[in-house]
Order: sequence, then structure tokens, then C-alpha cells
Amino acid sequence: MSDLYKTERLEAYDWGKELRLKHLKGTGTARDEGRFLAIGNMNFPKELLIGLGDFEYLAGEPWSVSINHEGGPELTAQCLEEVEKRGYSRDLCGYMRVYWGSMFLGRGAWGPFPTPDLVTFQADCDSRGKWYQKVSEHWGVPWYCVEGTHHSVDGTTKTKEHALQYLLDQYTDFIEWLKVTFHKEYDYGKLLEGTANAFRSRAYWGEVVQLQRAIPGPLDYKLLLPFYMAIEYYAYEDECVAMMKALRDEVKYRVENQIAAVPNERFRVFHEGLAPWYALYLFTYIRQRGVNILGGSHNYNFLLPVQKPTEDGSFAPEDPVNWDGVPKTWQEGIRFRAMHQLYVEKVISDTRLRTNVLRVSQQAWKAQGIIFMYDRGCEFFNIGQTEVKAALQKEGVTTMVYETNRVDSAEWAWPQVQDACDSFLESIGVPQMVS
Amino acid sequence: MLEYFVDIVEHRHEYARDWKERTGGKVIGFFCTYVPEEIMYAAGILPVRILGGMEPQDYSESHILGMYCPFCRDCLAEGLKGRYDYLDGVVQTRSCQHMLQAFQSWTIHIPLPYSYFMGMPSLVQADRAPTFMRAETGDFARSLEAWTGKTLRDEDLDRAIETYNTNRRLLRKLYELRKADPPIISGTEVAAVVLSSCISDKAEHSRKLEELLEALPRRSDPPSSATRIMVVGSENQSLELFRLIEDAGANIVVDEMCTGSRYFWNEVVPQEDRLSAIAQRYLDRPPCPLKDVLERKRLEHVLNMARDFNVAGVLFLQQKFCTPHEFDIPALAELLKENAIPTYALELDVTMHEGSIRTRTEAFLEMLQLELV
Ligand code: SF4
Ligand code: SF4
Repeated sequence: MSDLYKTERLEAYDWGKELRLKHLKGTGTARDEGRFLAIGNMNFPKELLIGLGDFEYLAGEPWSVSINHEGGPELTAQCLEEVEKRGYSRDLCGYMRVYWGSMFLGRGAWGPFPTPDLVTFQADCDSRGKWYQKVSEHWGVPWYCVEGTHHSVDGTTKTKEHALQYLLDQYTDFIEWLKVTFHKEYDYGKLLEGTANAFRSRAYWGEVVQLQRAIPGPLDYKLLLPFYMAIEYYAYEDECVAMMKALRDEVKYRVENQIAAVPNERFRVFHEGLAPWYALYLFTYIRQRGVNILGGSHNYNFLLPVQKPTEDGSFAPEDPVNWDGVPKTWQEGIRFRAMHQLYVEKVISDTRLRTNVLRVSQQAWKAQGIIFMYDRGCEFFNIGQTEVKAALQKEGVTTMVYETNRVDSAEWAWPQVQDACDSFLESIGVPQMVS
Repeated sequence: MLEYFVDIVEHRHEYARDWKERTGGKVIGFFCTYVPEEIMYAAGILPVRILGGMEPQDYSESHILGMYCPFCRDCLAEGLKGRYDYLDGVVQTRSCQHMLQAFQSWTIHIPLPYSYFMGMPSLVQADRAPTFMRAETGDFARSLEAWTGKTLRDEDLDRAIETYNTNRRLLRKLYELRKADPPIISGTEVAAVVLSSCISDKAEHSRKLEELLEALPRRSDPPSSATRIMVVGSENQSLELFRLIEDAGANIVVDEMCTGSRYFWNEVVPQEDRLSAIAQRYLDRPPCPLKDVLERKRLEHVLNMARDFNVAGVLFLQQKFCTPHEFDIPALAELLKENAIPTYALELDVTMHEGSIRTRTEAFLEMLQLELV
């Protein structure tokens, strides 16, 4: 298929990949370098750790992806086997099983599983509380858990003030606990810097996501990956802000100059659910046919808290990003963080809201269809997945479904997925591939 | 003596319809035992727990993925089949994701005059949980007031609390009777009493339960002696399952299930602010695995029950794909093993494979016999 647009390599992409490796590998050297090592789930409000000093964070989800991606199928299988041997069911969260296996075996993708100084986690999806309960029991080091659940499913982005306060109180309790447990002064100035950085990183991300509405799309699914992970993992860092700014500038340049991620972009689709990490060739297969996978609500939803929700509490993509909210005090900073948490959690678990978000986004980003991944490795991302699909399909949106487990390749059936892909692409008008 | 309770379980919809006709009140279905029923009862509403029909069904397949537990899919299917057509509303709280999905699908496809989702801390043991829970309980009460047009006065709440506490106290008394060997009442019969409590008017239920407690000591046909076991798990809506297990040679003498003891074990402890008292009761109740994060209270609670009721073994009744319980089973099995209490897990699906349940239970009971020898 002939190219319609020119393409260029995305310089920031390498930065994104490097930063990811720096953090994941850094978990192995942090303590020798005089930084403390905290471990926990990725969306724990890590900004709160900044006031205690320099640290590295081992985030569970990217750790599992690294076992899958860099460690390879053999290590992944060993990890899964180890967990099963200990009596845990195969239905449990895929990321958690791989992570537990790595922890029990004491092995990661690049060396031993590092010993942490503390375990911090946030109970939000059903798995995370129990996941790190086990981790804290395993290590026997100080641990702390906060809650990040959203407590309503009313189809809007609204949050009750007492629900927000519940999170804020837990955040300040956690800071007090850190001071007492580690007998250290806590630097609130650093906390403000970290929360302001997190805001900036997310605001740049908001702009990038808006720019992705352009035709041709300046980015595709693969190019989004290191960045959407970055804003959940280390958005509070100076380097992350600098990287996201560079990304925003580069993407702006690409849009102004019609530089495409997919040079033969003729079609655009969304992908709902995370990727099967061991089979990323699925994305190449689709891309080769001139189809840009623009992202999905899980990649995009991170942008809203830096923008103004609509009056009725529903979702509308806003442009430009509202930069007025950069926190000026640490109190504002943690408030922003709590709002962000509740929003992200709500979009995933509130079926009507996600349907609305996806409907509006699909039109605004001009996507011709939506691919839904039914992920047997994550119940949380599957809440309402069938309902969202059915509602949009009823409204005339072309959809595709495939079922697998994002980390357990034993559940992957490429011939079936390929068939589903072919008929989906055909139904949105993509010409058949000449073999 | 027990027909009343069995009849309610087996004809639950007829009971609720009849109640509505008799009283002119509203009926609300709730999905999880963390919903504070007292507040609905205080507003003159009959809260009934939504249960599945245990029939092969394909009603919920297009709404809830197969990786979610059969119980939540079965509950939704009952709604889609129209079995709950008498409900005026549905309520759910933040418990497991499976039920969150069932509740949302219900409200999308079976619109009712009232539906409410109440927040509920996951970290029930956290210092901040009571304040948040009190605020959510208050919002729920206000929402019911707005819908029913009835103001909830302290007297109404007191009456509801007392009615519920009485029922809980009587159920605890019934459980005490199971400590005798052989127990004066079978596990299947107790299951009928507790399940019927989840779906009927507590005042009526308590009256019948008092009569039962009064009559039981004179019972002429008590269960015969058999291996004493405990069952542990989430929901069981089938008396037949308990019957099968007991027919295989067991006496189920105690349980730790949310359709069993977890439903009623603790009472509301009075406080000046009634809603705080109710909120606290739900935070303090024997926790579901998902709510047992900060301290592992559940493990000790199960072990203590197993000891108090002198059981020879514990049978896990595991709803397929029930992740909350899948998290706890290995830790529970290990603790019980350390305390010389053997365990075995039976997986449950919407429909039962009687032969397999019988064979596996018999194998477990044989193993327990050998252990005893
Ligand atoms: S269940 Fe899903 S959202 Fe929760 S920890 Fe596992 S992968 Fe993450
Ligand atoms: S507790 Fe388990 S069986 Fe009950 S609804 Fe939740 S997942 Fe299903």
C-alpha cells in the first residue's frame, strides 16, 4: 500500500524507553547508591515519598511487563508455575502472578529481585490490596496501604467532597507515618515540587493526546507506550517533565508538518484494554494495513484531571489544556493527585462514564472502529467491557473483540485473533492483504 | 418446624410479593451483605438479597464475561428473566468487582424507580474508614428519604437496629446449639434459616426463629452423629448442596460464608448517632477477604470458629473465578494445616454436578476418618 504521508523517527521515543529502563534497572542499584527502595503498585501516589529523600520505586505492573518482555517466555512461565505451586489460582491477576513468581524465585529480568526498604500500596482494584499484603508479608519490612477506590458509578465525572477528603487524610497520615517510621525530617518543599511536576507531566500528556486527533496521527499505539507509562510511574520527576515537554514539542512539529506515525494511514481505530505483551506483532499486523491504532481510554483518560470537566459532570475533550491548575502549595498538590486517582479509577469502573468517554473520543479522534481486548489477566479493566462494546455497537460503531491474557501467553490463540482482525478490518473498509 | 424457613428459600419471590401486598411497602434488592439493611428497614422497606436461580442460562453471557464468578452472572440472569419483577429498587455497595459489574448491568438493562450505589471502604480497619463510611451511610439515608418521602427519625432507626440485632442474636443462639455432638440441627436446616433471614422481614423471621429455638431441644429426629465439618467460602444459595455434603456422611456444624455466619455475626453497638453505629457495624463485621487487608483478622476468625465448634476438617466452597476467596484460600489452608485441621476445596458453578460433589466429599471425609484414627 503506497504511502500518503512522510514519516520521521520520534526522537522522544528513545528517551521514553531509556527512562523506563533507568528506573526498572535502578531498583537493583538504588540502595548501594544511597537511595531508599520502595516497592508497590504503579499508581500509588509516589509523590508522597519525595519529602523523605531520594528513592527508587519498583512498580509492580511494569516489573511484570519486563519479566514478560525482557525476561522472556521461559522466565514468565517459571514465575507463573511457582505461584501455582503455592496453591494460587490461574484466574488471579496476571501481572500479580508474574510478579509474585519473580519475588518468590528471587529473580527479575536483569538479576535478583531487590530487597526493599518499604512496601507502599494503594487498594483500588480488587487485586492490589491482596497482592501487596502478600508482598509485605514476604519481605517483613515496614509497609503502608492507602485506599484509592472511587465510590460511585453514576455515569459522571463527579466526585463527592468527602470521598476526596478520605484520600487526602490518608495521604497526610502516610506522611506522618513516614516521619515516625524512618525518624527523618520530611521536606514539604520537595513534595510541592513533585506534585507540581506530576501536574506538568500530565498536562503535557493532555496536549499530546489532543494533538493525536490530527490526521495523520503523529503517534501510534507503540509510540504511546513509554509515555503513558511514564506519567503513571515517574511523572513527579524533573526529567519526566522535560521529556514530556520535548514530546509535546516534537508531536506539535509533526502535526504542523503532517508527519505520520503510520505513513499509509487510511484508517484509524481505538484499542480498549492493555496489550498482550508477548504478541505485540498483533499491532504491527494491523499497522501494516494502513490502520493507525490511536490509543484507548486507558491511554487517554489520564488527561482529564488537568482539564475542566463539563458542567454536567460528563466528559468532553478539551483543547487547550488548562494550565492554571499547577499546584502552588503542597496541599493543592496532593489534592490534584487525589482527584487524578479518583478520576482514573472512575473511568475504568463506571460503565456508563466509560461508554460516554469512548463515544466522545471515538468521534473527536475520528476512529472508524474499536478493538476490545477481553483480558483474562485483569478483572478490573474488564468491568463493563461487554456493556461498553454492546452500547457503542448499537450506535453503529464497528467493533472487534479478542480474548486473551496480557501476560500469560498460554491463553493466546493467534489464528483466531487474526481471523477476528481480518473481518474487523474488512468491515471498516480496509482492503484485503495480498499474501 | 423448619418448613417455614425452607418455604421462604424455595418460594422467595412469592414471599416478597405477598409481603408487598400485605404491607403496601416497597421492596429493594441488594447484591452484597455490606449494604446496611437497617436504613432501608427503618424507611419501611423490605430489603431482600438478590440470589441466583441455579439453572443453566445464557441470559447474562452477553453482559458479563465468563471470567467473572458464576454467582454474579446468575444473579443478573434472574433479573433479566424477570424473576425479580416486584422490586422497586436495587442497591449495591463497593464490595467485589464481580458484583459491581452485575449491579451496573442490572441498572442498564432492568431500569427500576430506584437504584443506589453506596461507597464502602476497602480498608475497613483503617483509622479514616469510620468517617468516610458515616458520610456514605448519611448520603444513602438521605437518598432513601428523598425517594420515599419519609424522614428517618431516631425512633425509626432504633426500631430497625433492634429488629436486626434481635435476629442476629437469635441466629447466634441457633449456632450455639450446633456445638453439641451430634448437633440438634443439621447444616442444611441452618442454611435454610439463615438464607431465609437474608430475604424476609426480620421481625417475622425472628418470631418463627424463637419458636424454633424453643422447640428444638424437644426434637425427636435430630441428625445422627457424623464427621463434624466447617464450610468456608462466599455465597451458597443451594440447600441441595448442603444436603449432598451431609448425605455423604458429614455434619456441617459451622460456616464462614457470606450467606451464613458472616451475614449476622456481629450486632450494631448503640451510639448516640445512629448512623455512625450502623456504619461501624459494617466495618467491624467478620470481613470478606477483600476487606481484610490491613490486618489479617479473617484467618484467626476462621481458626477460632473451627476450634470452638470442634470440627475435624474444613471444606472450602469456592465459587469458580471468585478471586476474593482465591486470594485467601492458600493462607487459610496453611494456617489450618499448621493447626492439624485438614482442608479440601470444592469448586462451585451455576449448576451442580451431584455425582462429582458426592464423590469428592466422600473422599475428603474418608481422609478425615483416617486422620482421626
Ligand atoms: S487486576 Fe488489573 S488493574 Fe488490578 S492490579 Fe491486576 S492488572 Fe492491575
Ligand atoms: S465474593 Fe466471590 S462469589 Fe461472591 S460475588 Fe464476589 S467474586 Fe462472586
